Amino acid sequence: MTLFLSALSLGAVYALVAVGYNIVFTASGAFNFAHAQLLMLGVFISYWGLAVLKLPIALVLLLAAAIVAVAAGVEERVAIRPVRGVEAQLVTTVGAATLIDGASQLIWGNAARQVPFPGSTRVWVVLGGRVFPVELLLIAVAVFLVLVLVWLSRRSMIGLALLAVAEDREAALLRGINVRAVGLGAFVFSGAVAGVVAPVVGPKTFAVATLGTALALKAFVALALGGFGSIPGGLVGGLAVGLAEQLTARYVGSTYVNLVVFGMLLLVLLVRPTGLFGTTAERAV
Amino acid sequence: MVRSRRLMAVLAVAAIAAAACSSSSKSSSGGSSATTAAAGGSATTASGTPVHIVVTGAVSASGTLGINSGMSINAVKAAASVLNRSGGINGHPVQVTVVDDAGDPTTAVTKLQQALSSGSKPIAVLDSGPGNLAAAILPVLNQAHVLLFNIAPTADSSDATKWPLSFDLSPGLNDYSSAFCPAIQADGSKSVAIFYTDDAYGDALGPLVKTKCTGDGVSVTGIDKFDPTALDFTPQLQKLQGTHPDALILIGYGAPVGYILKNMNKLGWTVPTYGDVAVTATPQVSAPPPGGLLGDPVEASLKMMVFKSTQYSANPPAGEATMINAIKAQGPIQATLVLAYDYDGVMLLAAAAKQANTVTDVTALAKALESLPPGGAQTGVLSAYHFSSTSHAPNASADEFAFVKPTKVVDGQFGAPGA
Repeated sequence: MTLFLSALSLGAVYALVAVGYNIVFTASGAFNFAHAQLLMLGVFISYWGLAVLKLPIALVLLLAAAIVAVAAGVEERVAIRPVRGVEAQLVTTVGAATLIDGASQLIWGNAARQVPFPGSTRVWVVLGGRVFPVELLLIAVAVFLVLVLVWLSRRSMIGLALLAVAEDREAALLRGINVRAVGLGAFVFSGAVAGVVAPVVGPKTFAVATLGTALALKAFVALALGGFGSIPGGLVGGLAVGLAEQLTARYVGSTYVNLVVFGMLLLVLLVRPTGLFGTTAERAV
Repeated sequence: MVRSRRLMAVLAVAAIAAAACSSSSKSSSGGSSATTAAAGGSATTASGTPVHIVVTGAVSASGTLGINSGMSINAVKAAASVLNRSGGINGHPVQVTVVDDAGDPTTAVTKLQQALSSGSKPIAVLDSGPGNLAAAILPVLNQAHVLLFNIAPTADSSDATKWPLSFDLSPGLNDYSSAFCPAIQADGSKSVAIFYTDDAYGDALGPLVKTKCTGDGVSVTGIDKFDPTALDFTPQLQKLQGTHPDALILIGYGAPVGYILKNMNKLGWTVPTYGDVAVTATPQVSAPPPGGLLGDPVEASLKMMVFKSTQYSANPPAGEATMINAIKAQGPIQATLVLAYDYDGVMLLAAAAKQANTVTDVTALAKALESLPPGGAQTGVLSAYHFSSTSHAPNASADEFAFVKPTKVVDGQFGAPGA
């Protein structure tokens, strides 16, 4: 059970990044490779707020959400809007990721830093497994976030506008939806979400300038597994990657972890190219 | 590659230190790339033609690289000062030139060639790393017939047949691997598990430690590796825990060390854990809260490998005490004493010159270095270097190493009072 809970909490971290990828992808069709770095930025701000300035957690949540949202908004204006074509946007978002990595190293250095968890740091025994409370919270936060986002996408005007843009950009424009504002809003919102979840991610991963890179690839696998554009798919993909990674390390060998994870991705893409929860739209040609 | 990884890890110790390196080591005249001074100033009692040595370092660099280079340069100046106060080398004062290599191999080669073609050709060069820089300057110095004391060993820099004038000051994997199990046995453990980072350094050291421990009569119950980019190591640790070793040997650097200690804590696994020099070099391990883990219960069972000279002693050996005082006289000690290897390089040169009775015959000096008796030089970082006609590695004995609990670094040492 210890291994299972550990795998789920690790998968929840991947899922939180994959869900961020999906928010942007759904609204603008862009793949924001820098989202893992935005989460890393949020973790550093959490460290700075909680450990250095010793601010209350509520204030840190607000600060992290605001700062990362602004960073994501700036990224949309600089790295997405002036660039035509998804392929070019891939390059510019990788550039943004590199920039955030470099800035983090310059500001906070290369050393890993502990991010304090405001709750209990003692080990809990749950269903016979040993787990830190923050790991349980990570799983809960990932599930809750997905439920909220699914509800918003189906019940709110903004969510419906997002779906309309994702379905047909031109038709959405004709219906009076400000597509550019939706794109910018998606970036800002995904940044705010990354900022809000960062104080929960940090106590497990530490604040370290390599965190973005470590998360980006596995979260991409989670996204592809679950299906591009599917919020629940991001969660399922993330948890699946976490489980595959940890079970392989335990029962097969550390050497085979990446082999199994990427083998699983290949298999899913071969059998179901849209991912487990992805959908295809028919187009007249 | 293996050694450069290790060196990078060791160099990262300097990140523990806070401020920039002392301004004295960064001085230059009018933007010149090199500064020259007869170390020891008015205290110099030697006379005659100076013995000219060059130390290269990233003088102009900021952060860890600048701190590390500042330490190397101060170590050379300190050694020259000590020697000059007692008559120099065979009566010749030691003159130190600092060359700013910017940590870049191309810059280092260019500026060294300038120094070599100047009026006062040095008899020896001491570098400050990294390994790729050493690899670049080795052929230049060999061709110019100049001794090199190298703190960043490359794959072949200790090969005496290929580089007869190059002498490595940093111990090798063989030396490190031999140090674990005698210490573990002394602590009463009879079996170990080994957990190492899956990179060139770990892949070389982990299996070597297993071989050495088996040879020492310690049972190795399990060995596993970990991806240094991963975020959770619960599965591998759980597997090793299941083999019921008395102790764990941990080989790794950076954030994974913190994850492993936390994962062990989660598993309730409290066996004594022995970290290698890369664990020692991990800033988070020796940094106090809020960012660091120093004092955290997860470190309760951790001991880490250091040189005896980097472990505080109220009564240090004479060479070590002299070195510390001399380096402190150059400015605050910003990094661990591991980075003061170049102090030993100058002292080895002095001992070889005395034995060969020359300060100009480079070939004779190299031969003398190969035949110096253990302890023949007043070194401070390692008590003895064992160069031979086939190996120019220090071949340090297990006695040179110790395992200490993490503490703050004070004057370059762990375990100082109040740390």
